[in-house]
Amino acid sequence: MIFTTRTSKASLLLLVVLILAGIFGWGGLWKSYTLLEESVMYNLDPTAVRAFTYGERHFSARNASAYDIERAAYFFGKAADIDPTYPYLYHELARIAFLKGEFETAMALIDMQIAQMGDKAPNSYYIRALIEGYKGEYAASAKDYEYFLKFYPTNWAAVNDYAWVLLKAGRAREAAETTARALEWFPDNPWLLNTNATALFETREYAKALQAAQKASIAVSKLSEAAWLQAYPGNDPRIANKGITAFKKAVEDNIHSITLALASSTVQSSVKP
Amino acid sequence: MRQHLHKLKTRAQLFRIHKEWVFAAVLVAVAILATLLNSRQPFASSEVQFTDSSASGLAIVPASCPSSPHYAGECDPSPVCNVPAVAALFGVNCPEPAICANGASNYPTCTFPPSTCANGASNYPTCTFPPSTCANGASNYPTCTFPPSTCANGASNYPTCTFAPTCTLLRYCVGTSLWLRNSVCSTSLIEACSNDCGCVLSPSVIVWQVRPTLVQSGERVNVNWDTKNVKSCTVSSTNPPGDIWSGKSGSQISGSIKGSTIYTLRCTGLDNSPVTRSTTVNIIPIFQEQ
Repeated sequence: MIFTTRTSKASLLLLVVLILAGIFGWGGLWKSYTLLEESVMYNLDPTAVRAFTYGERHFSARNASAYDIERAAYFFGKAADIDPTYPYLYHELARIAFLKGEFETAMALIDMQIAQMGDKAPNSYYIRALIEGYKGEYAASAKDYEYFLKFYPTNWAAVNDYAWVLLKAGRAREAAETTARALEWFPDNPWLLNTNATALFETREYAKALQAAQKASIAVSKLSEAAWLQAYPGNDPRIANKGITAFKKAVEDNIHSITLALASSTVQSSVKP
Repeated sequence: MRQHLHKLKTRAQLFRIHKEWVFAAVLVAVAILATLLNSRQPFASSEVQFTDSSASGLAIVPASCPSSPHYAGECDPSPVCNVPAVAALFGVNCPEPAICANGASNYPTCTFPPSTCANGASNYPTCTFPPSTCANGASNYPTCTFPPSTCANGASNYPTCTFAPTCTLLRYCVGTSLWLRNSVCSTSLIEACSNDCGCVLSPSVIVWQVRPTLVQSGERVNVNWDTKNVKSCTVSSTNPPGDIWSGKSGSQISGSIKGSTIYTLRCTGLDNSPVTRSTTVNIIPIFQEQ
């Protein structure tokens, strides 16, 4: 009798869980469980390590179900309250501020990180370069990219972003050379191809620019969500599709502009006074 | 005895009811939480909505691959490059080390003169650097300390450049602590407090896009903007009759563009500080035979 009652209660519980899962999805239920578990565990054992680990859990493009930038910021903040010297803490807070568009705060935080860990955390220079680039401080950004590239000289994303700030600083020739070198190692990388096309356009090498842009178009059409998320590791995985679409549109717009310029220059050169 | 048993039974029934209520409440809480979590909009960062314009208006797409502290070489060449023989076997493209004639890396064009430098240092090369760029990446650096045996043109043993940094004043929170960044970019802890310390965040433009920026006469462009920590924003254009839109964020299609047009976003921050962004749309010239 007892067995029957317990079995029926367990079945009822299972049924309720299945109904809730059907309504809200397993992801929603799992998230709820995770949040409850985190809150309970953190209150029982509030350490910087635990807070940082929970923060990292919610700040990874590779963990779609857990991605939650506000919750990550909350736990990184908790970690900072407990141990402000915890490694990479300001780095992560700076990344979050950067992603939220709070560039001044991001800059102050990454400066704190660099003051704390210096060359032991070279990718903090990369973050600072990104922030400076978005703030329009191109010379300082180029300097930080160059410094980061001393540690990772063949990192395609750093080369691509370095070329971006070179272009913004009016150094298109260098941008074209830098991206061309990196394309020898990553010949089908859509970011490098697109930036190379842009640099060649700026140096008025329209035919080569069109060639690179067309290659970029083919490369971006094959771009998978996994590859996109690898390129933007701090971003919400749920916008990967939107990001790829925006990238494709940027490349197509570029092809449009290059084609117009090429046609215009061809007409111009064929019309002789 | 019977009365006592009755009391116990009633208590047991009440307890059962309480347990059921608790169970139901937990389920409802979980359901509400799950609903809230599932209804959360994807986070659109400033980074991924951002494609920057080159001088001529082409779209550049920055990435951010090595930004995570857990970066493990995903955006570097294949690890087999560490073993050249294996790389050659599989035909993997591996980078060549970039070393200049004088042994320094990332150097530009170097020519070695037979004689000495102007300042007496010997055997130093004359190097032609790209405009406004030092070997250490600094441009137009202010205070430079040249070590001994360094050429006047800065080649080899580059000087240590000390920048006098300037920053805008900034109050920001780390956890529950209020920090201040001063005008020379030093940061200091102001106070640790349990609330938000009254931090008023600076206004920021998360998205500002005008696409394309090179058009044929009569074409239209897309204007997108999104801001944060602002009271109000206006987008205006110089092209008569001119497009004017307002709002903290928006997505609009311009009127027909007949000549070079500047689109400007002007916002007032919550702290009353202004933020402005501008983009110029140019017209492709059409050449006609006379």
